[in-house]
This record gives sequence, C-alpha cells and structure tokens, in this order.
Amino acid sequence: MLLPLLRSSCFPSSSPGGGGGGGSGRGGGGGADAGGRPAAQLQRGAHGPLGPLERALAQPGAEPRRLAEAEGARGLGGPHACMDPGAALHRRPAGGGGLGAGSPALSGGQARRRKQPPRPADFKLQVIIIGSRGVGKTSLMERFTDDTFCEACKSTVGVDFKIKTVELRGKKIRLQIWDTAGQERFNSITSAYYRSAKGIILVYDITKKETFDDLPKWMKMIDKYASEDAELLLVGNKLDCETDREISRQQGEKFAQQIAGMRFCEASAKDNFNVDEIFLKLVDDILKKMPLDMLRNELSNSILSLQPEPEIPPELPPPRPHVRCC
Amino acid sequence: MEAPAPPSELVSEEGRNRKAVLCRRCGSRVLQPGTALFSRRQLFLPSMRKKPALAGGGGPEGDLLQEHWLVEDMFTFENVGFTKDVGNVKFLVCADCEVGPIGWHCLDDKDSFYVALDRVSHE
Repeated sequence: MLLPLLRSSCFPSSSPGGGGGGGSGRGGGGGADAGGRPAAQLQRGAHGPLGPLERALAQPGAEPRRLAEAEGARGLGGPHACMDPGAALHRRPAGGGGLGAGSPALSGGQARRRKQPPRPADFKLQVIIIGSRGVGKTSLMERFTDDTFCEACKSTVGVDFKIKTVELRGKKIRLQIWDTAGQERFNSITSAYYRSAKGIILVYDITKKETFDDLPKWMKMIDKYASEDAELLLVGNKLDCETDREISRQQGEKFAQQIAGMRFCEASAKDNFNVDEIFLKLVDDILKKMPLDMLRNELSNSILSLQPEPEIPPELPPPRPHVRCC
Repeated sequence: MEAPAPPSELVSEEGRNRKAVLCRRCGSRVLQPGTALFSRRQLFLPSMRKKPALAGGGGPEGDLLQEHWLVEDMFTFENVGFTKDVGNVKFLVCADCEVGPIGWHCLDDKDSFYVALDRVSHE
C-alpha cells in the first residue's frame, strides 16, 4: 500500500537503469553558456504541447481565505485519518527496492508509446508544502536519497521545486511541487507561493509540540495570501517516531476540524507511509472540487512561476477582483 | 570540430526523441517519447559523482556536454526537479532520486530546458 504512486505513475516497467556516472569527462572549461543576469520569469500558460489548455482565460481568484482558527468546528467532511486515494488511482506493486527500481507499468505507459506525441497533461496544479523548521517538508517531497547523488546539488544548491505527473481518474496531471524549506519563519515565505497554489500541505511533527503550536500562525498566512479554494491538508509527519509522540492523532484531527475543508492525516516520510497518498488525495480533492470546464480555465491561467519572487513578481497580474469559481 | 550525426536510434527524422527519457539511476520517467528536440549546444554540467569529485578545490568538476534534448515548456516533463538558482542557471535533476544534474536551464531563456543525452537513459 505504501506505494510510490507519485513517482511511478508514469513509469514504464523499467529496470533500474544502469549505473550513474556522469558524462565522459571531456574536461575542463568554464561554464559554457551562461550569460546574462538572472531574470525571474513566469511561465505563463503552456507553450507547445499543451494546446487545449492554451486558450483559456479565466482567472485564479485570490481571495482572503476562510477564517482560520475561527469559524468554529465546521469541518467539512471530517478529517481523513487514512488516505484512500480511490479506486481510480494507478498503483504499483510494492517492492522494487529502495532505488525505485521497477516502476510499474501504468495504464498509459505503453499505450502512449506511439508515433504521435504523447498526450499532453490535462491539468497543471501547483502545490506547496509549508510548516515549521524540521517537520520533514523536504522529506515529503524527496522521499529517498542516498549518498550517490550529486552533493553539490543537494546540499549547496538544493531542489527548488519538482514537476511530477500523476494520473487520476483518467486525467493526467502535472504537479508543480514547491518545498518551502529554508523559509520556515512563518512570515518569510513569499506570498507568491501561496497565491498560485491550488493545494497546500501544512506539515507538523508529531514529536514536537512546538511545530503543532505554530499551526495557527501558518493558518494566518494561508488566510492572508492563499486562494480561498486552495485545498488544505494537514499532515502530522514522523509517524515512524511513535514513541516520541507529543501530539496525539486526535489533536491533529481536532485542529483540522476547526478549519473548513481541511483534511488531516499522519504520515512518515521516512517510511514512506502515506506520502504519495497525500499528494494524490490532494489532487483528487482539487479535481473534485471544480467542474471540468472551470478547471481547465483555471489551470491554464494559474500561473506557475518558475521563480516566485519576493512580494509581487512583475509578471504576475495585479491582484484581481475576486472571482469565485462556483 | 564536426558534429557527428545525431544517433538515429534515439533521434527521429523530425529530430525528436524516439524513446522515453529516463533517470539512469532510478528509472523515473523524465520525458515521454516525441516530446523533445535534439539539440546541440555546449553546456557545462557539474559532475554527477558525489563529493570527492567536488572536493579538489576550485570549481566543481563537470563535463562539457554537447548533445541535449530541448524542451520548451517545463510542463512537458513528466517528472523532473529544478535546483535552486546557481547564478542564473537552474540545474535539472531526477524528480525522484535527485541524481543529477541531468540538465540545464537558464533563467534568461524561459523557453529552453536542456537534458543531456549522456546523463539519462533511453527506453
């Protein structure tokens, strides 16, 4: 059950591809081809292959969100202690070892191997992962690492965001997942992250009460900046450290119940428990929430910036009049 | 120097990738067949080897690579990770195991994402 769905959803059944190893070491030389100064570009809409989405219009409504702590306990739908991404999800047989070896053939994999360009993504969604320092946000995004990857990338540069593809209910969805690690001071995350997020994963550490106590602060940020229709998921991470638990599952559930529409689950990035389900469930909720047409419009215009800048990125449209989706 | 002909088992007549582009290490699918253009451009990618390769002082070791898959839209990728900025460059890494860099993107050109043929496998 703890299947790396996210990773695997589009893999063919492949063997663990050959060893690593860089190129052929043609040596030296300076950084070819760099030039220019940084320019934060917004990747507006899709280029090329994402045809159908292009024509869209719509506007991502950025509204002040529902009240955070307030509003009493009218948790919609109640917390979901255990994620069940639903039958439509493609799963892969477990096993395969740590290196994500044999990935599963998922429905489309083979079918798409034809001459015509493969089916482009149906939707694009931006998801952000927030939470206090050390709660495991990055682990949720990364899942496993060992010492063979490029240390330079890992420790000195770090991954900014990822694009992952999932297939859900017959739709192919590209997720752009932002990890906000390094910006843990709750008010230091740029508002641009929140603004375009369709899904927000708020993480705390079940073994550190202070990370749970920080949640209201995070909710204030969400209320302030995130789109009102962004899906929220509260994740109590580090379930593998049960013996050090300081926050009970009930406490987590209770917190989530106080916030309209917020779901809850516990997970272990270390053991890979519930991790993929988190993303899949979130995506499922997002898809369910919007009618298809709306979604298309919304998405094509939901700008996924390559580089959210502090404050308002120049290319972002000015705050729009609030437009609700339903 | 003359550029050798692109490997025809990998490059279609239209100059696109015949095969899926995968992570060498974990098999994560980076690109679907037919979604990228073969492109020659000399780009420097830091070595994929771990720290010892980088410890020698000076700049990080790496390779000047010539053959790449070019993608115009980052959402063409099935799965890929972007590093934080290194100057005005973001390196591409495997989205799942983070091995890399496998590719290169310059922030000055938002419509070009390169994946080095030498850094990925094809299937």
